[in-house]
Amino acid sequence: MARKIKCSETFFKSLNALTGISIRKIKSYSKENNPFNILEHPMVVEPNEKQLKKINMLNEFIASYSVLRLKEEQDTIKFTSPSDAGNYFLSLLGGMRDKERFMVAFLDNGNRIIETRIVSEGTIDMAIVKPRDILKIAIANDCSGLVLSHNHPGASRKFSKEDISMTQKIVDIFKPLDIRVLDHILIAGNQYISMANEQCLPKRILNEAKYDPIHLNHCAKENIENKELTIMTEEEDLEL
Amino acid sequence: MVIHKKEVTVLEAMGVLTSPTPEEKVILEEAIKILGVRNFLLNIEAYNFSEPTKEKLVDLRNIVEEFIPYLPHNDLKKGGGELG
Repeated sequence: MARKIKCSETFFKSLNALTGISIRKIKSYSKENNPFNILEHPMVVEPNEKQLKKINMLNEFIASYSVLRLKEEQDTIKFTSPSDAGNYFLSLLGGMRDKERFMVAFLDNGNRIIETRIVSEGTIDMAIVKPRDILKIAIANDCSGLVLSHNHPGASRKFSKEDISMTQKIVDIFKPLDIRVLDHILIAGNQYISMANEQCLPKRILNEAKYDPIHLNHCAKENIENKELTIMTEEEDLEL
Repeated sequence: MVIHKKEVTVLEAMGVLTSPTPEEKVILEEAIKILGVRNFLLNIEAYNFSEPTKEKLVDLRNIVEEFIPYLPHNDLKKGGGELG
């Protein structure tokens, strides 16, 4: 029996935006059929010539993307030294002088890049970094290490106090989760500076975040005790 | 840097589907060369594309994301340690 495949509303809207096939047609077909058929067998929605060309292009894109994605995963970049990380981020952030950007490379246990993301974009002299955003991506990728990087549009080649305290904060959050902060690369103009090389990379936890296992029995007991206390209080209130 | 043949196909398809300006085409090409197509799609918002181009690139990402569960997954080997 054919497996029923559900696609999101976003998928339908995006398919409509890229191919010009009406949402009504896409939804009507998808009610009883696999929506991916529209891509694999476009004639099922009777597209006009222009729409058919777009669907074919979309198929080309998906096929090439699949191959490239595999190739990219096989050719993953591995950081073996601070200079590897420095040169990598230099190619991404070098020469950017319009605003400060903060990037993170999420690594596996072999220090291979799983994913690299811009996590914050700021103004000419500052970017706001939310550890929560980094944490979300780190967990989604099941990563084991992070390399942080940001650019100084003013080309200052020194880590600021804020850079170091922010790195410490990230170490405090991630170390208890066994996610190591391996380096923080500063890009200044067309040069990089590594916090690890400069010997100022925080390695120890300063303010440990608590991720200890929570004993449910204890909680349950507390809850029961609290409930009993509430009932008692209510009874006492009634007596009054 | 030599562009892989499949990257050319990706760029051609992106060109037809998102109608970028000539300047945007250069940004696309450079970004894919540096980041790779997957990381580029994850970071579309970081680039200075016009709204219509950005929206269409996001549409492309949305479609690809729905396909990811159907794509073969290459499990990364584990092992390694500190840098340097």
